[in-house]
Amino acid sequence: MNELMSLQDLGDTLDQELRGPSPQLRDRVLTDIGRPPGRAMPRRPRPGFGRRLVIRGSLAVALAAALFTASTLRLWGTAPAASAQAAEILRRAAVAAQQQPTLAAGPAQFVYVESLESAAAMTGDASGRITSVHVDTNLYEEWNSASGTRNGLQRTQPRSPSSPGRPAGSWQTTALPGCRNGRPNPAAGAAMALPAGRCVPQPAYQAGLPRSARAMSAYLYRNSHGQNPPAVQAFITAGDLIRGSYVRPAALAALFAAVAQIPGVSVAHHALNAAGQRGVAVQQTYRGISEQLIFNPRTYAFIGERQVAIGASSGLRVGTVLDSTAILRVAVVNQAGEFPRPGRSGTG
Amino acid sequence: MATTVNQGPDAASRGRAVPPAAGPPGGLAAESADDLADSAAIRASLQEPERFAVLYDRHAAALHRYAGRRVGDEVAEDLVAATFLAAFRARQRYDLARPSARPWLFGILTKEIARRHRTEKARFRALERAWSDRPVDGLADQVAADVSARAARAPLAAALLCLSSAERSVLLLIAWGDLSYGEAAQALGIPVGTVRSRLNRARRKVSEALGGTNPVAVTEERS
Repeated sequence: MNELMSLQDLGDTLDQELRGPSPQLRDRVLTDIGRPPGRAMPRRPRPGFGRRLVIRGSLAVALAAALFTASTLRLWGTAPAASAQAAEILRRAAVAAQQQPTLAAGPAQFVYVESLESAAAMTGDASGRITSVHVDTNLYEEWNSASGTRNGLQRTQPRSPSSPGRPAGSWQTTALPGCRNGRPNPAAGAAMALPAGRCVPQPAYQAGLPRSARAMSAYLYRNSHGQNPPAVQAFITAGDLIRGSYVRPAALAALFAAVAQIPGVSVAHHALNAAGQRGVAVQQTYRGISEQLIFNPRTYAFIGERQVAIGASSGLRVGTVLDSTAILRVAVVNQAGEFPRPGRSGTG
Repeated sequence: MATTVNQGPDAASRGRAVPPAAGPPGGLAAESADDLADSAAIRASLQEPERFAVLYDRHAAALHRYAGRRVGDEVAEDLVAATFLAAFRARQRYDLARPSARPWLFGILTKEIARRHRTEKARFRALERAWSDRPVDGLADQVAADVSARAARAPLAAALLCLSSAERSVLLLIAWGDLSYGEAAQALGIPVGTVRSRLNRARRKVSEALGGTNPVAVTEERS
């Protein structure tokens, strides 16, 4: 008996204890697929943009000073709440958020979001070594039902990774099925038929979010569903919340204040969003990957996020950008497919 | 995430449709999802995402069995779900010139399993212990081949633990995943020559661990 035959025998033996796919797995897969992309795990990179970030004025000094503090603290192996300079950036971001006009949306309306996403797909070998990287940039226009009950729409257009303003392909339109009374609405060309009777509406306009840092912090931990450590997952959930829905100014300010309380949050130095805009970022790092929320370095408005490899444990070359986004426009409109009028939109 | 990548963002519009593998050409039957190659289903899913479901129906059982052997049933469940989700999100970049998505899906799954290498190692360590303790003495098991197979299980589990993750993946994709050398190369994004050399190395190590005196030099290839 050679080793391949022994392996066959071993496989057959192991099969006796396997039950195979559970009856729920198919529904689960199709439901996952029908959902707009969240960020439960690292996705993809985009090289190409320069990485030098110029920070002017007093903040640069503050950053340098605080960097020392942060690295010193780390020597003791404690996980303090956000580093001092990260907390300062988040404080300014909270102030900036509060100064934004509040968009109002009724349950029948839609939240329109225009964004760029640049992502990398990697071909790897079995040892986890990346053998090639392919970058994919798309402009997204989404109309998500404010209440989650109406059918929304998504338009995407491929863009040139090196010059995201330039179209590199044709538009594709996908219906996003709403959910009413626990059942998905029928929608022509809907993104994956949702299993009947199993949906929960996903409101794009969240009016009921906590407005204090403490309550928001509890909310983030309570609503984290990934498999990462709690502090890592809470940070990711904060990003998901901003990307996946319209968060009103008071809640957004609370969100940034809550992020400042997450252990391990620090400043990231070279942050570019998917549109190539420079920003200051706060980051949470885990297993060699830095998850970053990026802010305008002058106004501290939220301008996007990204994931970048910063350590060997990621299995990627340091500096590889896995994924980046840029929020270009957010508005409330009456119909899916309707473009916002100038003056009614904002960002973040 | 392991995805095979070789086309630009406009891949979908440049990719060529692959004719159905079976069924009357141009007939009505060719229109049904069952008769379309995986690549055609993936292409159709760009406009109609629900068409992607056919990939699950075709490949889920094999992927689940493969993952189940390596990491156990429960973890397999998560990994198969993650594999299809990753595949769905990467479908725009699928090389439509490849009719079967099987190597592509196994490649993604392999990456997912690699993330759980601790689970896999713990599982095989436990299996090794369990099998070492179990004497081969049942009357019904006295058929020589069966005895030798049973006796090999514990050292085999131990041998798999000693392979590098790259060697283990190649060996198991071929022995358990039923992939050809070419398909394994596609799945892992490595040249066929590398598949062959890794496989030989893995087989030699396993053979030695089983007490074999005749290291393998066989390079027969299926399909």
